[in-house]
Amino acid sequence: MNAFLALIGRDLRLALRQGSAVGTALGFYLVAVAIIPLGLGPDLNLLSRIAPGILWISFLLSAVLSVDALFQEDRDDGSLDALVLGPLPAELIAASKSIAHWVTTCVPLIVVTPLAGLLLNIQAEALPKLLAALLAGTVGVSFVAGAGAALTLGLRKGALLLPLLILPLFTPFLIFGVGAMATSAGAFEQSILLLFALSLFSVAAMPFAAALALRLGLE
Amino acid sequence: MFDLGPNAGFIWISYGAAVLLIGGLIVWAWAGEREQQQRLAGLERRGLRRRSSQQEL
Amino acid sequence: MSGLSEPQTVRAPAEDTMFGPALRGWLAFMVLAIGWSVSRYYVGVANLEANGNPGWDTWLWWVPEIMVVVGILGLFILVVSLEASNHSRIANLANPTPFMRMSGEILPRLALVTALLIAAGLAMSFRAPPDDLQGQAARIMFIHVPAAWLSMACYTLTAISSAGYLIWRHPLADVSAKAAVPIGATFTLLALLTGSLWGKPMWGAYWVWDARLTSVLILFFLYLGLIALRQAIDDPGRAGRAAAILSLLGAVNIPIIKFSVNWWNTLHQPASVIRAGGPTIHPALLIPLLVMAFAFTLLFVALHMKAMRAEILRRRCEAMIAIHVRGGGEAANV
Repeated sequence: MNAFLALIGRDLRLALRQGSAVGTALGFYLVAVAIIPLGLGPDLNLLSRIAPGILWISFLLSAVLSVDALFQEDRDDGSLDALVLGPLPAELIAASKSIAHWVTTCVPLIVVTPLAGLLLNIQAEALPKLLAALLAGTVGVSFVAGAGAALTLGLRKGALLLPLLILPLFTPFLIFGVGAMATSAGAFEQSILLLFALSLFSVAAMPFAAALALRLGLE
Repeated sequence: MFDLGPNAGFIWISYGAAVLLIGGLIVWAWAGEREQQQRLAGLERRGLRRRSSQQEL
Repeated sequence: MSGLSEPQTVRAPAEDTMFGPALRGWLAFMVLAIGWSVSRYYVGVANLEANGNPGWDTWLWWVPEIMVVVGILGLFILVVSLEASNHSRIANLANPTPFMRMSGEILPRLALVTALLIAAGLAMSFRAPPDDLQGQAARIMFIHVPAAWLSMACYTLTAISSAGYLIWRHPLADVSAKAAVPIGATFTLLALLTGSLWGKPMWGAYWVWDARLTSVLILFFLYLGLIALRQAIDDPGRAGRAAAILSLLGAVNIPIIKFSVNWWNTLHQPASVIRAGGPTIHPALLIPLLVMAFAFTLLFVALHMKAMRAEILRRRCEAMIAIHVRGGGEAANV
């Protein structure tokens, strides 16, 4: 358990000191959100209607694009090999990476989401629902993305391949995440519960897939 | 029998697509096996052996 | 290294001395029987209390029977795998020679039967009367439904083969998974194409975000991902295992994706959608559909066998070249 926490702490400290990966993900998120009105026109009614969808899609894209770096740096300097060969089970290593990804990428993205929502004229009552849905769902997003990153680790076209493999698996998160903003009765509670279920399932299942892939990468 | 009404075009395109795609699959599978068989025969002609045949030597 | 040359180090000893086969069979039967009767009782009572009738018309009624079928299938797979691991001490079953011999005998006959069945199915589907609601366009269903069924069945086969490869490291399972993916992707594409060609006259648009079309589209993306992942890795053994992990990941997610897409679709129900093929299909349309579905399934089996043969031969060639390059040293057991 101590080693597990130490590993998370190490990733957090690394992210904090470098800061570049987090900054890039934040920048990508804001640019992606800001560029969509340029394509759709400045109609504020339209924008506020589709704001949850835009925010979720931009969020998922920045999560996919940033998860690659998490394993890549450790692989390049050889520390990942040392970790997998070490006493800590590969499942826990994968889980710690996903947790670190959630803390260093998803949480900052959630923090700037109100700002991005302002750009899209999101309705005031939709914003807390959106934040709750993001908090509930993105843990699972990080774990699914972690498994995908472990799978494409060190491949030639890995950065291009990862979204192709992972985005279809994000469909339920996107659907329930945006569904939480639906106005029909009970839609919010239902979606939030389903998002929690998805996250719990991903936390339980994805580290095993990621660990298989990590061990495979060592061969 | 072949008077398919106002939507005949869609029906014919559907069946045409099915013939094309499935025909493509059949050609792909058959040609793939033939190609590998020829390759194997070529290798054996050049005197390469499988392990199972090596043990017989 | 060829994927067919796995070392046989990870193989648990078979525990055939623990129980006799009769005792094991009896135990399995008792577990299935007790499981079935208990769940049958609960499902029946629950239905009676909820609706006042047994409720066979819902799929939930069949859950105990589905459990039994799945259980028997699982037992079958278990027995086959135990047999395989016992057998491997005598003759290496990783050797695909028996498969090549068997498939070589079966394939010509299978191809003949498939061709006849497809001809019969096509004739029947053009002779069938037009549907009351959909008119002549219902004929597209005779291709669309079998293609859609095969797109799912083929993914299931890929996932089972992948599990077999990851658990037992049986190279033939990898060959099966690899051969199934392009075929499945093509059938999925066919289902999408015919679905949208059916949609234009029926719904007035080539693409409608219908729950079924949408989940088939996502299935198509999963197939594309599998193909792309295999192409991105040079080493065939590694590529096989990475693709196996991904296809299992997809298999776990498919029910969730399907559920979420259904949920999404009911949330944004479009107003003017005619529901395709309700629960009642007239026998005049159902019989051609069943014949076509059966013919397509046989076609898939034949194609899969042929593609597996090509892949086995390809690996043999690779192994022979590898032996040659290494000067006949450590050899691959192909």
